[in-house]
Amino acid sequence: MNEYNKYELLDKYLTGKLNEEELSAFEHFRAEDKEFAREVQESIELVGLMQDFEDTQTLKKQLAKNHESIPQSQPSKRNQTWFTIGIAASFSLLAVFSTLFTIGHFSSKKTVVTSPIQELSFQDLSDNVSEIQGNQENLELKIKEIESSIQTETSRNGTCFPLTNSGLLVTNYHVITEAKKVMIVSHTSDIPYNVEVIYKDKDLDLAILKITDTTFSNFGGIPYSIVNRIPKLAEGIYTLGYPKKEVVYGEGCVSSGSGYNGDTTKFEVSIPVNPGNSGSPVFDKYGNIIGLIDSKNKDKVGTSYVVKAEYLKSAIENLPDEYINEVTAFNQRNRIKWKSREEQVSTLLSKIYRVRVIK
Amino acid sequence: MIEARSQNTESELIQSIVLGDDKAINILYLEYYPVIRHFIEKNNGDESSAKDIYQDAFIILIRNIKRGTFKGDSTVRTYLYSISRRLWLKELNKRNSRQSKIRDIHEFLSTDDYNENAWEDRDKKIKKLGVALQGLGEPCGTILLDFYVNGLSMESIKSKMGYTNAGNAKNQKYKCMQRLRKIFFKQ
Repeated sequence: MNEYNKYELLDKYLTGKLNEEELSAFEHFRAEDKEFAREVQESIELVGLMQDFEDTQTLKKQLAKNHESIPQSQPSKRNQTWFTIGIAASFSLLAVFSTLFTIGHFSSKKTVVTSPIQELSFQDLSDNVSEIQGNQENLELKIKEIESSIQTETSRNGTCFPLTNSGLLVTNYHVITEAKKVMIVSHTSDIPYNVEVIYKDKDLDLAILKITDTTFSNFGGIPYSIVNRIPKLAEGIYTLGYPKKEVVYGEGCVSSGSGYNGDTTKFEVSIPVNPGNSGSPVFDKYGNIIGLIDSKNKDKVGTSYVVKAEYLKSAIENLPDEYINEVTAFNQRNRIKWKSREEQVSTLLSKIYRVRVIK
Repeated sequence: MIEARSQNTESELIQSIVLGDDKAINILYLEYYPVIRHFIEKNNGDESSAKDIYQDAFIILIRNIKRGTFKGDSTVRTYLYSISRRLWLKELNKRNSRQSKIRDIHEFLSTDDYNENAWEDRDKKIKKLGVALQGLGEPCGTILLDFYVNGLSMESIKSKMGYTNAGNAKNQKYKCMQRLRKIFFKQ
């Protein structure tokens, strides 16, 4: 404990990167050294204010831009004010209706991905791998071939990522369906953790997992933010997932605003994905998560479907009461925004987990 | 039409804002501007003042929504009006030496009803920090925000600012932080 530098610890504390051992060393320094304790207090206040300051600057720009859509008014007579209110109201109504439209409020029943009656043009991207043959090559096989081989115990792979620093993660429903046991493993540490499924949504194809191992404390801070916004056509995106035992990076762009057969809960991307990618987060260029990979179109090459972040949000809202006050990745500060792509990925690697399901 | 918006939709918008939805912020913004503009213009202000006051008040609203201190005990409209009213009163008093009178067009929260300090103190401090950062100048402003807010590593900061090694960048950051502490806490 003596080899810790208290200023290094302070910096890590202020940027949310302390592990448990470091935290207790830090608290120790703080208790022993009055001068240091004062510096800590002041630094905490300053960093909080800096965050608020940045947020304010960002919001100011957003509002200034938004204000441009308000028509320049004439000298205020009563009529003019109502006229402007009318225009502002129409803009707001228009905005509301477009929002309602894009979240499928006005559309008919959405396509259900995992229905067995559904056309087989759909391919779930959870990958069935024989436990006995731990061979890497198997992962490259097409799903049909894997399904036809009969094994006594099979496991299935997918990808998941943290929703809260305390131990909640999200993946696809079809990855964990009928699982006897679910575990997660990280690319960087190789330590497996047991998880339980605390929430399932078959229609949206989402499942929320919770780490049950007592040896786990937290994820060490979540560097990304999940953002509920409409993906723009042609915007560049990337994904990190486990179509094989190590993390694989893929990039592409948003090719359509809706999913298979007009499914409004999803959007379409041009990344080629493979079994095991189910549940992979989809990042925009700022490292914000805007969705998670769900499936691909077997007939159309390089066409994959992503569950919109909006539906992750609604899944969280449906969690049992005990999780209501958890700080989720939705209101987490994005810490990788200005990093280069390689740096973003390097920070994210340790946060993306492979899901191993024993059926 | 605005009056017809149900209380329900407004709390949904607020919920969305808490969860990071920028679109909901824009919708709310457009909705209440006319009321505040009307108020300012009725009280010796012009459109440009209305825009400034409204944006200041709106930023405070969003800040409090995100922190959870605006819980919807009052409507957004009343809240925005109360803040705008207070900001405008202060502005008017700055312009004339004698106490200005306000002609109200809406009910507002008295300082007993809501803790004015909840937003005013915080707002003042944030503005004070902005001034302090400006006083520090560059490269300190960028280094501090990049490290503590934007989460850049010392390595990235070193590349971005052109230092020869990450150790130099770290030293520079340390010095900047010490200077900031001094400027901010001196009184």
